Amino acid sequence: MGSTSTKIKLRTSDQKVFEVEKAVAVQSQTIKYIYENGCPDSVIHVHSVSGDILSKILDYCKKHVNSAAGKEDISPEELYEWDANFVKVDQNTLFDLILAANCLKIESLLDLTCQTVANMIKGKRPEEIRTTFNIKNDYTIEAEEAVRRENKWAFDMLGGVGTMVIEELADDTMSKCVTNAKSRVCVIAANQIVMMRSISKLANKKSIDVYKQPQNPTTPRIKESVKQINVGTGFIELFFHFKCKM
Amino acid sequence: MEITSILPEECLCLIISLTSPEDACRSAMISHAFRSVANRYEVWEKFLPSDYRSIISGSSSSSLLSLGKKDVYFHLCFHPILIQNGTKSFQLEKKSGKKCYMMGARALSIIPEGTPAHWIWTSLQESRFPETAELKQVWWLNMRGEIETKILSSDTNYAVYFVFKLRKEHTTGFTQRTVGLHVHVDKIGLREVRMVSLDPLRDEPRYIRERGDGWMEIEMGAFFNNCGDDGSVEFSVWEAHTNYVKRGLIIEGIELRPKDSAS
Repeated sequence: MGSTSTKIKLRTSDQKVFEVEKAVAVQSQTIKYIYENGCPDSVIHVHSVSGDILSKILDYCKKHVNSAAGKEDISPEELYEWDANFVKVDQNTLFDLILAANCLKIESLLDLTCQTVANMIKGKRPEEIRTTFNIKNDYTIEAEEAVRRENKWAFDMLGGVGTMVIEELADDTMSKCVTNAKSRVCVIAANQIVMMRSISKLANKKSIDVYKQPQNPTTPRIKESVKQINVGTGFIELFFHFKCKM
Repeated sequence: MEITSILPEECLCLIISLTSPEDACRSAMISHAFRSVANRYEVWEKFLPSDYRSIISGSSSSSLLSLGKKDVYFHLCFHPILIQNGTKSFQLEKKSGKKCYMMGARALSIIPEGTPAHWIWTSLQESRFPETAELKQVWWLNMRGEIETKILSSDTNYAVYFVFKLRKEHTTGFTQRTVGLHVHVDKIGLREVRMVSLDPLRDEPRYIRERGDGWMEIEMGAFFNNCGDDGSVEFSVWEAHTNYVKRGLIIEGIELRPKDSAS
């Protein structure tokens, strides 16, 4: 009992059986608990994990156990590199790893995989993050504006994020907009008349470039000279390439 | 199926807490599901320093603890709270959540002490502290203070700032003359001295900055706080080489905050 070559059997959701060293398996707090509180010879069911994912996870656990025990000659930098390569997988696999690490309670793996996702979010604008993860924007324009206002005071988050309905802006705000520079603004005008009035006010300033956002958000923006913009009905997004602090 | 329907909220909370306060605020704009995660207390608890509860309960603003964690975070970013009987203040640096401390004049050792002919205690509206020290007249300038590295945020580059102003009238001894600003961390062998003028002429290099809260500041030195086991940081403002008289200096305090962040 307690010998280092004790093996534990694990059965996955797709009925694959893995026999692993106890030291490796108990990296999972869940497996450790089940093993210590159950019959040591029986097979432990890991219902929510598939064979492919468990195989990867066991690779991770083995690498870390061996490195900590000195069984493998690997420097901290090399282990860090190995971890970085370990998470170079497609999104679905990454999410499966997170789910499994969460359910099996393997803290270091959960941190590693979640940090990987966090790094895909850091410094990005919401629309970029939506593209990365194929998330639908379920905000109405008003709701999005309200959420931005909710957080704007914290971080001055005007730039390129969200929209402001131009008809709400008074004339003097518009000119203040242009003279005080801070971050990029996207403007949606509710109708043609308001839009043209706004554009003509802003277009007098030489430093403004006006970009028209095509309906398809993945198509790059087209720079337009203000005089040539053909305003259709409904909403058009114009990204004003100037800086504005509200 | 996208990320918010695949991963449970506890995992999403962990992910957002591994970004930054700014990213967390921005992520609320992604979708309703993200907004719900971004406002969770688990996220903001991670951004707050681990000892924030004991710091707040020992301050004059202990009622802050009844607020939601995100509100506590931003309150501490924008409103320094008074600790240790109103002699020091504490706040957080917005982008990183790192700790900032200011030692008020009452927390510093100003020599000569207790001599109203030289220094007087005043209450100024623009000060965050109940009392500031105002220099009436000295020949030698000597004030010092210290702080334990263990109360600072670990793994952070800190800079030390002297926060002061000069009275508009009856101020002498600071133009065309320098004072010594010292920062000393014994355990890591750091000893920085800067000789600067607190009242530079127009054509002199200007290291003094306006803070935006009615005070001026000048950087005294900087050091890297590793795990907070480097003992104490000592700092002093010192001018005792000459015999010319000095008047008119008003001391708000000495602030430590992460380097490269504006106050």
